[in-house]
Amino acid sequence: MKKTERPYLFCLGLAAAGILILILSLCIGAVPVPPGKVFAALNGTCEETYINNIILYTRIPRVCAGMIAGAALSSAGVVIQSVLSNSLASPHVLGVNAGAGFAVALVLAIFPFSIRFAPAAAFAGALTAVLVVLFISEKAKASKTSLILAGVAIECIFAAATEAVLLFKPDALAGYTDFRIGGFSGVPMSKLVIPGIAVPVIIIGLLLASHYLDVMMLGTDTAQSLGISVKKARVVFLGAAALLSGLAVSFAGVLGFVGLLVPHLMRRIVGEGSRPLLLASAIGGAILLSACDLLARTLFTPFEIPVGIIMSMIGDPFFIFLVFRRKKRKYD
Amino acid sequence: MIEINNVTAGYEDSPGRAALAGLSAVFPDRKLTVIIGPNGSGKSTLLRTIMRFLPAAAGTIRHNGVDLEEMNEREIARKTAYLPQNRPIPQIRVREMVLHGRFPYLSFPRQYSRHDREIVLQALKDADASELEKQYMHELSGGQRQKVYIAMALAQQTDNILMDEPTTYLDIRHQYETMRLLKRIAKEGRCTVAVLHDLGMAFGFADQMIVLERGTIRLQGTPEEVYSAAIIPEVFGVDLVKTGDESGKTFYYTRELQHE
Repeated sequence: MKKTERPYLFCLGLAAAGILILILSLCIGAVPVPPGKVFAALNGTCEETYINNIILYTRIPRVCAGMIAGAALSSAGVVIQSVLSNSLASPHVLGVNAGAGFAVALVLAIFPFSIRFAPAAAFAGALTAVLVVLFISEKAKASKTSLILAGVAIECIFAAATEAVLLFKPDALAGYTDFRIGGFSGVPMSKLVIPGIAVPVIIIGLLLASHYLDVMMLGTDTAQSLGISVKKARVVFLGAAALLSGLAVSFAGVLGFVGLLVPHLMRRIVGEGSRPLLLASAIGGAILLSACDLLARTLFTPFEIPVGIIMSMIGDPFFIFLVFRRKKRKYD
Repeated sequence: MIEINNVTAGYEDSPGRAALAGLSAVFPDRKLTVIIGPNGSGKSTLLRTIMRFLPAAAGTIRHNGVDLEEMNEREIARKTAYLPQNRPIPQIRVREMVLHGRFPYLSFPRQYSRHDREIVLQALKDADASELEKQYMHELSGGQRQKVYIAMALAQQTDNILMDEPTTYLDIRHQYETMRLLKRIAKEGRCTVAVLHDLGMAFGFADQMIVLERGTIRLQGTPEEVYSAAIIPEVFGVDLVKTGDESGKTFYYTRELQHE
């Protein structure tokens, strides 16, 4: 794929595609709603109560959930890949999402009515996983491949721990429908308030600090020689990635592969400049998850499948493709 | 100018790796100082300690008269540029790469200014890399890439430049080109320090040399002084031969030790 010379124009095009997906997601579903009625429902002039309910309480939260989670996980993927200079890394592959998921399950198992603390718990879990990855990366001086293997191990440990929690307290995650694979079914707007504010703020912060990511991609020694305190910067940026992942997991569950797939795709189009890459990945992630969710709830109408299943169907083969491509390059 | 005084350093987690024991030296302005020594003698460790990538266990290090411990990373980066031997090759354009040399002057969250871009163009010109400006880093040859890295160091506008094996992996023509460039940079006023493996190249281009052996300075002086001290066979296990051409220019080359 040829890189574009005008990455921001491409982002603008992506944003337009995002608006189109947004409109489609609001119109299409088990009950089709024409665009006119969607707008009427949005500005409070629709007289049909059931359409109001569908748009305002089912589809709007769902589309928002897809867009927030997609933007958050993709941006987290860009940050993690840049900071660790590792193209196979992502919040899912390194067990960051699983860490967040375990923390949410644990907190809700102990304090069943503390769902509003889910984002904080998810952040704590994600941060723990990130710090373990960082520790392995720095102290054990793990190679890029070893780090991914360590990440897979961390992911398995947290996933097993989540299962253990659910064994003792099966209804711990009663507030979620597809937590362990990830999905947006029945997400209430109340769960989206904090992520809806925090995710855009963090992404804007990352866009403003993107020069740091650019320099960190040049390798630890070069970054340090250009005046970055690499150790501190790694903790700050990976902390931001953990926060983004945690916020997404707090309402969407343990969604995989968005954070791996989207940054790769966007890097091929807009190049490695962190600012356009972050922007394109945030918008691209929002589009991808919303589009996949649209598929998830329309493919087998009136039944729907969790969006996490569709993401894994696309993401797993993509991950295998990346592994093969790296191996091929190595022997070029 | 960089001064080190009685510096001791090492890798805590890998005691087998080179450690420095009580090193003192001065790296003057306007001079190309070349550090030589066998593998594991502490050449790279010395550069990394000067940059504080590795903390010195004892001793003092001064960049332009300022104690290293009194500076933050950005202040160090404004005084001394460092080019490591190994680094990932980013898929970005050359001018963006060189622009990274302006990072130590960038305040949050400002964009690079026109002034920064003018400095980048000048740095590319000074490093004979102007024609590479629009190319991608991963498409360049090793020699071209080295010029770009040097241009980045020049854009950093520091008084001191440290380079770890800048000629390794380059073909011979590019090795000479790189050394000539370093020599010119030094002549223009910078304190220029390079770790080199090729003794012929080191003796041919250095203004001053430091010979490291097992973490200590065996000898420092001009190439002529180091040659006259006849320590090369003992330190490196090879003979160093000095010769000249009809124009009076001196050349050095190495050969296997000649056993009588």
